[in-house]
This record gives sequence, C-alpha cells and structure tokens, in this order.
Amino acid sequence: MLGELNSFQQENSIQRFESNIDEYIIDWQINKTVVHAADLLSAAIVNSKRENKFVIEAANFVLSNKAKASISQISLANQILSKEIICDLSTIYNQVSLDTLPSLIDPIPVRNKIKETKLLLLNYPANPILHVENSRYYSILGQEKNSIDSMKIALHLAPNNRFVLRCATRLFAHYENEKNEYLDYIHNILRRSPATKFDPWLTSAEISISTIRNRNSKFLKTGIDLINSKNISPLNFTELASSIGTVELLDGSQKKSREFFNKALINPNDNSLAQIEWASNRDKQIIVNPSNFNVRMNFEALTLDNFHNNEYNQALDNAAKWFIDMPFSKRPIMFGSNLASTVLKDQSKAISFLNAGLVSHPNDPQLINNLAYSLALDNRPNEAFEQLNKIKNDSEYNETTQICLTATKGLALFRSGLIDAGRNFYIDAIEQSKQMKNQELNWIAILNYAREEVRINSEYVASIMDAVSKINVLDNIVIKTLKNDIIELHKKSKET
Amino acid sequence: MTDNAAHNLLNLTLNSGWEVIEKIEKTDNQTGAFFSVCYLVQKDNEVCFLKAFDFAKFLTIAVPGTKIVDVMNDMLIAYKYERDLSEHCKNKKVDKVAFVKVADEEIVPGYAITIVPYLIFDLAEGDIRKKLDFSIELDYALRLKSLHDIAVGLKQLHNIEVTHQDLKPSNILVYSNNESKIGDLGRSICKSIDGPYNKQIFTGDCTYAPPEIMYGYWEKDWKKRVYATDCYLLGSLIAFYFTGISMNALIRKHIPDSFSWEQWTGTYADLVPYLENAFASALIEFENNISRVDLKKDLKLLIERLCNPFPDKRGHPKNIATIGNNYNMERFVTILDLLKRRAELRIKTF
Repeated sequence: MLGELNSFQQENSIQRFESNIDEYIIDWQINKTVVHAADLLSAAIVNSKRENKFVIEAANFVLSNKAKASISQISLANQILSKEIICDLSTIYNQVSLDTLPSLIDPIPVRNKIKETKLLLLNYPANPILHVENSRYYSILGQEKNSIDSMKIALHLAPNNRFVLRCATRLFAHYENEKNEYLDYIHNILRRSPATKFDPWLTSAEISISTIRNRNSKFLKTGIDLINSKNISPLNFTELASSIGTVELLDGSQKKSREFFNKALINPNDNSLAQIEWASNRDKQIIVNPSNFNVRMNFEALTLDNFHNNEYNQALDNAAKWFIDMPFSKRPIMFGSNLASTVLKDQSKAISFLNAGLVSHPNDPQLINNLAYSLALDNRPNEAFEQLNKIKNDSEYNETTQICLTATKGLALFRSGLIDAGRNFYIDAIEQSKQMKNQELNWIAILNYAREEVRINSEYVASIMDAVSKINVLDNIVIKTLKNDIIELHKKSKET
Repeated sequence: MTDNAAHNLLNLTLNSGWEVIEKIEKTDNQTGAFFSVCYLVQKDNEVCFLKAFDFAKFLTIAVPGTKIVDVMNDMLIAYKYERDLSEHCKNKKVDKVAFVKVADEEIVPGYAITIVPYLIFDLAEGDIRKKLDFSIELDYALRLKSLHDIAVGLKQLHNIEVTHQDLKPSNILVYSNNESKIGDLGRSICKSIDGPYNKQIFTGDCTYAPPEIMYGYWEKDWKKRVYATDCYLLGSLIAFYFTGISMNALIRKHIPDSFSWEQWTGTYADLVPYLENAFASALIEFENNISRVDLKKDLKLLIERLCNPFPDKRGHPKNIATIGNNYNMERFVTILDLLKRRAELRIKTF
C-alpha cells in the first residue's frame, strides 16, 4: 500500500551529512571517460542529484559508450535517466487492459522469481523480506500452503516489523475461510505486538481484522488518540482513520464516521480511498471522487467509483489493473467477471478475467463455476462441462457455491439441448436456495432459469414469468439487469 | 583568484631548492583540496608534485561569521597535521602511502598574505580511475595488485593507529612502476596527533561514507567507528574496481526510495531487513560484473565482509575470536595477495 513503508515518526534527530557533487563534475569535465562519468553518476545517485545537467550528460555518455562500460555502469546510467523503472509502476499499470491480461499472468516469470529468491535465501536465510516475497509469489501461483509457510517464517523472524505484519495480515485475510483459523492467528500476533500501540499502520490493520471478525477492537481508542495526537502526518494515519470510520459506519454512527473519513481524505492512499469509496455507497452523504486525489495505483477505488457512476467499461479496465496490482486477490476477478458477464453481457471479457484468476486460484470452485457459466452463456456448453468436471469431488466449497454449480449445470444442459435435465438442475438450485433462505441467490437462480425457458419458448414461460414479475430489487444491479433482460427477451419472443 | 601568493609560485625557485615548473589547474588527487593550489616542481632531475596552501581561498570559503583568526588557525592545523602525519608514517615504515617529501613555506612579497606553506609529494601518474578500463576483459591482475597495495597501506596505517577515512578512487595514486599508494591523508584521524577533524563523526567524502553514517546512526565507540569506516571504504574500493561504481551507489540502486538515506527517518533497527535485502541484491549485481569464475566467489565474499551495512557484522569473522578486532586488515591483505597471485598465474599460463 502506498505510504505504508514510510517511517511515521522522526526517530533520528541527527541530520544526515549533506554533500555536493561539484568536485565529481569538475573531474568529469576534465576527464571525459566512462570511469569518471560513472564516478559522477555514483555520487549523483548517492546524493540525490539525478536531475543535475552534468549528471544527465554523464549518463548519456556512458550509454553511448556501452562497449567501454561495465554492466553496473550501464544499469546505473539507465536508472539515472529513468529507463529502469524502479518505483513508479504507473507506466506498467497504464499498459494493463483486459486484452493484455493473459500475457501478464504468465506463471513462468513468477516461478523464476521464486527460484531467485530461494537462491538469495541460501545466503540470507534470516531475511524476513525474502520470505515475504516468496510468500507473495506462491500466493500468485495459488500455492496456499507454501505461501502461508513462508509468511509464518517471516513473522517468526520479524514479529514487529510493519511490512511483514501488514503483508501477513493481507495474506491471512485473503486465505481465511471456515476451515482455517488464519484470522485468529494473525489477530493474536497483531494484538501482542508492542508496535501496534504506536504504529498507526499496525493499529489500522488490527482494527480492520477485528471488524472482519465482528469483534470490538481494543485499539480503537488508541487509534483515535494517535490521529488526534498531531504527531503523525495525515498520510500515515489515513488508513487508520478510514478503518475507524468504517467501524463507526457499521455501528450506525454516520456523523462520527464522516469525521474520520474526512480525516482520511486529507492525504489518502490507495487503500483508504477504496475504503471510502465503498463507504460512500452506504452513506450517500460521503462524496468522494478518487480522480480528485493524486494517489497512484488506486485501482480498487477507481473501479468502484466507475461502477457507481455506471462507467462499466472503464470499471472493467481498472479492475484488470487492480488485479495486476494484487494478483493473489479474488475480488477484482469476481467483480470484473460478474460485471462483464451480467451487466455488459460480454462473455469473452468475463472469460479473460476468470482465466487470469484461475492462475492464482487454480482449483477455486467459485471461479470455475463462473467460467463455466460464461462459457455456457456463450453457447459453448461442452467447454463449460470441461470446466465443471475439473472440480474435484473432495473439493471444499460452501453451500452457496454448491447451489451456483447446480444452476450452472442446468444452464449448460439447457444450452446442450438437454432441456429436461437442465430444468431439473435449475429447480434443484431454486429449491436449495429457498431452503437456505438466501433470497438474492434464489432470485438469481429463478431469473437464470426463466431466461432459458423464454429462449426456447417452453410451455412453462407464463408461470416462470409470473415468478419473475414478483422479483423487485432496485439496488442490486445484477438482479435488476437480469430481470430487465428477461422481460425484454420475453417481449421479443412474443412479438415473433 | 590569481592575486594571491599561492597562485603565483610559477617559475620561482623555492627556498628548499625546488624549481616550480608548471601550474596544474586541476589534478587527480585534488578532490577535497579546494584550498590548495598545485604545481609541478623539479630538483636534481626529479619532478615532484607541490601542494601550496591557499590562505585567501580559506578565507573565501569560511562560514560567514567565523573569525579570520579561527580560519587561519584551521588552515595551519590542516597543514601541520598533514606534515606531522606524513612524518609519523615515514618513521614507522609505512611505504604504501603517498607522504610528504618536503614541508616548508615560501614568502612571496607583494601580496596581502605573503606566506605560502607548501607540501611536496612524489609525482604519481594519476589516480586509479585513469587505469581502469572496462572495455576489454577486466585486467584482474592489475586490479588485484593495486587493491593489495592499498590493503597493505591501510594495514600499515592501522598499525600506527591512523585511520584514513577518505579512501576512494580519486585518492588511489598509481606510479610509473604500477605501484598503488594511498593519497591524501588530510582527512585521516591519528590517535597520537591532534588533527583538525578528530572530533568529527565522519571526516571523509560523504559520497563514499558507510551506510550507518549515511543514515545518521553511528557507533558511539570512536575506535570502532573509525576502523569500521575504513573497512567499508576498502570494500567500496573493491566494488569500484570491478563494477565501476561505488558500493553506496550499488546499495542505493537496490533500496526502495522509502528506505533510502534521503527519506528514512525511522530507527536503524527497523531498517535492517530492507538494507540487508538491498545489500544482497547489490552483491548479486557485483558478482554479475565478474567474468572470472575462479575469482567471483572470493571477491563477493570480500565485499560481503568488508561492506556489510551493519558495523557489528563488518570485518573478518575469524578476527573476533583470534585478534579481538573485526576490522583488522591482516586477513584481507592475505586474501587479496592470494587472489592477486591467482590472477597473475592465469596471465602467465596464457
């Protein structure tokens, strides 16, 4: 997250030595050699004088005399001239789109990165950052156990390091499900860490985890005190303020929540902006436009903002960037594929998203289901069945996913011409969702089933359309779109 | 600039018998010597290098508000220190350091400040930067011979309780017999001589300063601090010989901006994993510059030990047990000698 690596307090009171590079410039002017140019470049990068015109001249000199330069001299000259992008990833992200997504999710470079990190670990086995990096790479490849193991090693090596703790929090929250106790594990570590009391980035993480777990955070007051202390810069408390704002919003204290969100917006980062964008959909008095803030890589916030403003194609492109920023996360994939499949009715885009997501979540039943759903809607039922067959019998998934899988099988059967079998599966799904008392799911199943009956103009159209007319959801765009599409389809079928 | 005595020594025969034959506008080994003017001098067919102390320049670069007598005093201390230190080294058989041959003063009438103190040194061919060539396969034997000379010089200085503090490519002088010597003792610290910089935390060029200094966290123990600094500077020199850039540049290339010395304001302890990570990447980059497989591992290990960003981990690990001083140069001299011989043998077998 942007800003999370900064130190939030002025710890070293002694000023660093300042140095100028004049003598290196004189040397370079007298001796126009690659060695003298590189000596000047060394001095420039060390003393933050990259913009100096003589430094730029020297960098160009090195690059135009590559045959006389070493690997490091060439690389340094490139870095000085910003040809090697180290920190500003915006250029890379700006090239991300749904079309380029498949090439960006190639697992081979990720595997190579794991190899490189492992080699480094041979020499630096106690470096927690390397273990965190490996954990991230494993998570991109969907190797949950390896990812968790690497992160646990990092936590043991640096239990109070902010970077490690926050990466671990994200990872454990990402892999959390009913079968594991990851949230409990990381929550305990966060609560015990002495740094959580003083570091707003950690206090914020603890409050967020408490919120996910529906617990009251014992650091809430500490967090409020930290924000009001005036010792911490707005960028350093932005996430803390948005976390507390969220707690207040969920508790129904909208006025208080707005106060905290306003504080978070003084100098937001990508995470706090996304949080506030989410909140703005719950409290209409919170007005935020992510484009008004100079925050890099705020793709999640932009995606949500585009979506709320009905800019669906832009939302899709930003969801692709959001995924590349967080390739281990399922949320941008689910969001992008649902939007493409249902609202935009563009199954090829939905399929692109889902294929990308399956790299990091290779056996995820929900993603496989959605892929099969899009393939079936695209009249490719055989491919849909191929996907559905990938779900192993011993796969663990929840009841909702089970109902979705049943309905998707019904859809694929309908599109294969096996109407009765398809109908049976749909009726099963509708019944199960009713028993589960999940009304939204029930309506989605009814609407999908209705569409298939209308498409073939079966004898059941009248009764199913009656059920459709009883569905009245205005704030769920998926249900609303599905319903409107069916009414339109029904109207057309009657006309013909 | 030329209306002061230090700038007008050309064609004079000095009281010491040396004839000033050429004024050098800017030379190698002159960095950090803004307040000196350099000449070539000749006596008995021997050409040497003269460094004249420029009082007027001292006055112009003095911090506003500083008393002129204090400025004069600073300059005199600087002159006297370099002279005495050279004498100290000469008497202790230090032969890998460029000393002062003659220390004297000349009175040049007709100027506001007529006295010009000067120092005369052996004339070098230039600093090491002129000898390093990255266009062909690196000349490992030449590089390692020079590094061995420097390590020996540093060991000799340490033996007489002098730390150089300003070891960098421009201070490595190469002579016609291919011998390298450490130049510019002006920034060094000697335990037994009261120098101008003895009370400073770091006296050398900040561009080459070790990471703990760059980040503003230094060892309180004076002795440990200055020896750890020399250790790092030797490692940085090795890095420069084979990559053409300094160790600080290598580290800075690999450390994210948030953790750079310009931006970081947190504790040094919090920095450990990130700095270690950058150091590991810097070592890999260093290794990628070495084409000789038989030298690669040893050179990397040398840098790893000499340049460790954490002073406690710096130096040869065996030194702690046997000698009690991590930063003792003895083992590094031996390793460089071995590598030098290995590189030379390879040349002879061709």
